[in-house]
Amino acid sequence: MSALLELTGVIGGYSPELPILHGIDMQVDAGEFVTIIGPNGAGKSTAMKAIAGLVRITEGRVTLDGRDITNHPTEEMAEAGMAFVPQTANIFTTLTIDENLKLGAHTLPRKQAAQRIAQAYERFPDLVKFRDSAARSLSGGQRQMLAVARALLCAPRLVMLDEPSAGLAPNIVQDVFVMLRRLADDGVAVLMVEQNAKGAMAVSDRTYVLAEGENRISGTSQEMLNNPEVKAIYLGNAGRKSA
Amino acid sequence: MIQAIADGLSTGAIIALGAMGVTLVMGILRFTNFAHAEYLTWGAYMALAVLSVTGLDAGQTGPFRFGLGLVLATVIAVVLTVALALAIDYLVFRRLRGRVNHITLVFASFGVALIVRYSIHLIFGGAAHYYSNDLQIAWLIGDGLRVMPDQALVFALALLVSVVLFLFLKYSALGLAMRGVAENPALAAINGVHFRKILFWTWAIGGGLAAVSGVFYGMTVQIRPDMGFQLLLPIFAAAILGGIGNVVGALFGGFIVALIEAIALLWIPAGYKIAVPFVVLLLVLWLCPRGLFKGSSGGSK
Ligand SMILES: Nc1ncnc2c1ncn2[C@@H]1O[C@H](COP(=O)(O)OP(=O)(O)O)[C@@H](O)[C@H]1O
Ligand SMILES: [Mg+2]
Repeated sequence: MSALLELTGVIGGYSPELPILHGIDMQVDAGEFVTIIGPNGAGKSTAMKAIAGLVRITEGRVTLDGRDITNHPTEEMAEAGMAFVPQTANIFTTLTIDENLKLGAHTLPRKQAAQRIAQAYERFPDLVKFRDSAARSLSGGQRQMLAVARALLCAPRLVMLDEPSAGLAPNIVQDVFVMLRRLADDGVAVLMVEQNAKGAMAVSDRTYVLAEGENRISGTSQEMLNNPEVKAIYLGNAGRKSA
Repeated sequence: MIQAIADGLSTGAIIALGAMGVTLVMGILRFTNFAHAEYLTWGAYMALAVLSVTGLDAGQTGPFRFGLGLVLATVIAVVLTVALALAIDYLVFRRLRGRVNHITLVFASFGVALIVRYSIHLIFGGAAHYYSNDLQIAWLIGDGLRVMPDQALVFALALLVSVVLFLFLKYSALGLAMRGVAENPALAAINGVHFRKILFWTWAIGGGLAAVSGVFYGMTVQIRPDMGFQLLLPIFAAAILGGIGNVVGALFGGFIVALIEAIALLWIPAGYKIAVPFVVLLLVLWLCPRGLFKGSSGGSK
C-alpha cells in the first residue's frame, strides 16, 4: 500500500539553473500528521510550493494516491483533494470573509458550497461577525483561521500548511495545533511546516528535518523530540527560531 | 459652462467605458495594454462594416440615430472585437506572459496598437465615415443648452453598462473569481480558479466594452482610423485616476477627465485639447499615484 502523498528525489526551484531542492524524499499517509522543520532558507516553503505546482520540478516525482501529480497545474489541486495554506498572502485581503470562503468553495456545486461555508462558520465562530468586512481588517490569528477555514472547504484528503503558527499568540498556537491534530484523527492527512518545532512535534506523528534543500533526519515525532541533534539545533534555548 | 459640462458628460461616458476595460485588464492580467484604444477603433469600424455589408441603415429609435441596424451592428462588433482581443492575446501576449518583464509586454502592446491601427487604415482608408448621414436636431434645454439626443443616449447607455459590470463583478461567482485573480493569482489557483477561464472573460469584457465605447464614440464624432488613438491618453488618465483595477473608479475617472477637458477648452485653444488629459495624468501620478479611489496594485473592485 503506497502513501497518500509521496515525493521521490524531487529536484526543483525558481529557475532551472538554480535548484533549491536537491532531491527531497517524503511520505505522508492518509490521516497522518507530518511536520517539516529546518532552518530558514532550507527549502521548506519551496518544497510545499513544488507539491502544489507553484514551483517547477525538474527531476523526481510527486504522487498522490499513486497517481503522478508532478508539476500538475495548481488550479487542479483542489479537485484532486489537496488544500494548501501558504506562508504569506494566504487570504484575499480585498475580499470579504464571506467572499474568501465562497472562492474557497467555488469548485463545489452551489448547494454543497453553502453547506460547507455554514459548517466553516460553525467551526470558526469568531469569523461570523466579520462576514461582510474586508479580510484586511482581521487580526493575525483571525487571518490564519480564515486561511485554514478556506482550505478545509473542499474537504481535502491532504492539507498542507506553511507555518500556520507564525505571528500567533502562544495560546492560539496551541489551539491551531490541537485543531490540526483532530483533523488528522478524522482521517485528513496534514503536512505542516513549522518554526515552533517543539509544539509541532508534540502534536504530530512524524517529523522531517530539511536543510539546504535536502532531507536531514526523519522519524516519528517522539523519536525526534529525543534526538540529540534535533535537540541541539531546534530545541535549544532559542526554542523557536525567528522567521 | 453648462454646455461644456453637458458635452463632457457624453465624452466622459465613452472614456469611462474604455477605461473600465483597461483597468480590468491591468488589474487582472497585470499589464498595460496600449493597444486597448485601438480596440475601440476596431469596434467602431466593425459596426460600420456590418452596416455596409448588410446594407442596413443605422436606423432610428425615437430621436436617437440608434435603430435596429446599429444595435445589430454593435452586437456583431462586440463579438468581432472580443475575437480580436483574444486572437492578439493568443498570438502575442500569451507567448510573453510570465517570461518577460512588464516593460517588454508594454512595448509589445505598442506594436500591436500600430498593427491594428494601420490595418484598419489599409482596409477602410483614412477618410471619415459616419453610421448615419441623417442630421440630428439638438434638444434645446432651458436657456441655450444644446444637447444632441445621441449624446444623451450614449451617456445613459454607458451608465447602464457600468452598473451591469459592477453588479457582475460584485455578485457573480465569475466576478468573484476575477477579483480573486486580480489580488493574488497563485492563491486563486490554489482555490481552483482556472486562469484560462478568467483570461477569456477578462478579454471578453474588456474587448466588449471597447467595442461599445468605439461605436458610441463613432455615433458622436467621425469614424476615423485614429479615433481610438485620440482617446488613448484620456482613457489611461481615467484608469489611473480611478485607481488600477477599480472599475467604479474608472467610471468616475472618465467623467472627471472629460469634464476637466471640456471646461479647460473654454479658456485654452482647441489645439491644446490633447494636452489636458496629459496634465491630469501627471498631476494624479504626482499627487496620488494610486488614484483618487484607491486602486490596489492588482485587484478590481
Ligand atoms: N520566489 C523566490 N524566488 C527565488 N528564490 C526564492 C524564492 N523564494 C525563496 N527563494 C530561495 O529559496 C531558498 C529556500 O527558501 P524557502 O523555501 O522559502 O525556505 P524556508 O521556507 O525553508 O525558510 C532560499 O535560498 C530563498 O532565498
Ligand atoms: Mg518558509
